[in-house]
Amino acid sequence: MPVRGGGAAYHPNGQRFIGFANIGIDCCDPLRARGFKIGISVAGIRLHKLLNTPCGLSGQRVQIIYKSVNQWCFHAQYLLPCRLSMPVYLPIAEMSVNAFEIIFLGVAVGIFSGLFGVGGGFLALPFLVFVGIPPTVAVTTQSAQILASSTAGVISQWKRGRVDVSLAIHMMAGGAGGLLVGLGIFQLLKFMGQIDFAISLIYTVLLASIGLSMFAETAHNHLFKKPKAAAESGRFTQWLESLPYQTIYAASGIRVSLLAPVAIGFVAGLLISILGSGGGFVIVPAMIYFLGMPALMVTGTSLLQLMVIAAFSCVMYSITSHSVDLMLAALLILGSVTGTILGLRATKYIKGVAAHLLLASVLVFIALRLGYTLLATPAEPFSLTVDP
Amino acid sequence: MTRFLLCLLALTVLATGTARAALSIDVSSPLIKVTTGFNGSSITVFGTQDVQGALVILVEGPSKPMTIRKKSPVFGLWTYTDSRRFANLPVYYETAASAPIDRIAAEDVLRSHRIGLTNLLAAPDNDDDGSAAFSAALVRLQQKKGVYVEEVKTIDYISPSLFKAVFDIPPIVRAGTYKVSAFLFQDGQLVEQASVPFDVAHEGLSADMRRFATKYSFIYGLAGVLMAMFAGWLATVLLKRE
Repeated sequence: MPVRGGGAAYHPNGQRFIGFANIGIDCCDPLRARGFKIGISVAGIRLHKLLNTPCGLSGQRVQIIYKSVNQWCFHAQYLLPCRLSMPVYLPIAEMSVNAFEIIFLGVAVGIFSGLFGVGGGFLALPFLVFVGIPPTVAVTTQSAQILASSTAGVISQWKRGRVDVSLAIHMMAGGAGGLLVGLGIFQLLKFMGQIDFAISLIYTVLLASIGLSMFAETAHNHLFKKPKAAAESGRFTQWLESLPYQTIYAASGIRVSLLAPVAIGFVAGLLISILGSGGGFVIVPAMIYFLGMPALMVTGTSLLQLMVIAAFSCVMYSITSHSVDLMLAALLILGSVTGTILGLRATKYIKGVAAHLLLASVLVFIALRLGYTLLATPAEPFSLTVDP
Repeated sequence: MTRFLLCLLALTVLATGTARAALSIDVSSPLIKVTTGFNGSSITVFGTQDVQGALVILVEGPSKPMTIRKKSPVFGLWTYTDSRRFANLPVYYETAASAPIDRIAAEDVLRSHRIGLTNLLAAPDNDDDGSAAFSAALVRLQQKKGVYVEEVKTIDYISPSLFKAVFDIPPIVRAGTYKVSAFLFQDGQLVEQASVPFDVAHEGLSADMRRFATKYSFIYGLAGVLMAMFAGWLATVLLKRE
């Protein structure tokens, strides 16, 4: 089926097909006659409305929905033309996905980690859920993806001697606890049927606040031409110093209570088990402000603890909930390795304030996109889960 | 195709033989394989009937418990607030009939045999807790997925006693034992009934991975760890080359 316009769409002899395009009036009706349904989307946000009139009159972007699968695929509009289609059946998620779509998502995540030095889990998870991967599978499979990127990070930081092993071990102890507690919370939310909602809500709040504070910080630096001084937290520092088990971490050259890294590790464990994100956005600032670690040591140390926690989580989830989908993980990792290399190359061109603003914009965009799904009236208020 | 002909032959012999059932059926393939690139399939049901009457054929997937949840706004945020659980419903349901179903038998007769999508979920006598909306939504969602088919397929008669019907198996089907049942009605009364099973099985790389993941979950998890760490290491090697 030839389709005019930007996207690529086709109808291969009744195969499962999902696509978008600015389709012309000449192929809209034939598509309908073949059992496709045509929907409308604006700026990638699907309108919960089927188009029943002739379409393509004003170059609307429309969606074509296959009659029986009826899966909307608005995300692919950005990711890649649907002509590149290689269906792969994910064994654990029990669904068929377009392999290129997942690889492409991996590439996008990799570019982010290469460009900004962040994990990218925050980007991958909402998208995996959009694609229709069950949240349980998405979160747990992310642990494999996080493991791959943190391993690469640890190797390169280790060579430069920027890893504080004893601090990382103390964080891991807390991380293991956080992971187990998070696992419990996750199962509870899943049992209550609120896991999708919880993930969307937490991500919206987290990403919006981080993105906006990055904007604010950039604006502040730009206006006053000097970095904002770290907030003075005298009373808090005093309280930290009064805690027992004061330990000297020689590699970082700091003296702090053992409880502080354990607590930060605990939060990291919670984040990875509930949100499927390495949580670098939260953990790295926490290590700088609360532990007073030198910035150079933070990345390697936090990645080492993340690596071990991610490995632990991958095995734990495999045993307890059988929800780690290695087919999905392999596709994601393949994409992210490629993406990281591309991202590192791009660092030559995108620097400083521009990179900062770009990252902040992406965070706010994802937050808005997630917030929209929470606030807008859903077309289908019901959802069905069939027990395995 | 060979099987198809054999089926026809066997059924013809059955139809002309002396000791025979009034109604017998068989399927074109006892096993449907869902492979990594599976994109939907179809199954043909053959049969013979040696008495006159209206015929209904049902294809039902294995029964599973299902939970249906409903969203409503809580402080402006859409979240799941209500749910119903249905203990046993088929994961797949499709029908074929030789005449419009409502003319074949009375509704209570159809309902007792779960014939027809509207009769699959019996409506409660009183609907105080609003469950009817949930069961209607369940059927609607399953129809959207293509696993409950509202359209009643036609039954083709090759001869007055030999018939066949074709059912579509959509790309998203659950594995398990499916059941084909045929019901023969005369004057609104069930006179004969026959059934035959067929299997839908997952095969290929994905299915092997699934089996491995459940049987040797520790090794599976460990394999995931090794794969991810190897990929991470590979990335650093590739980066060094840059």
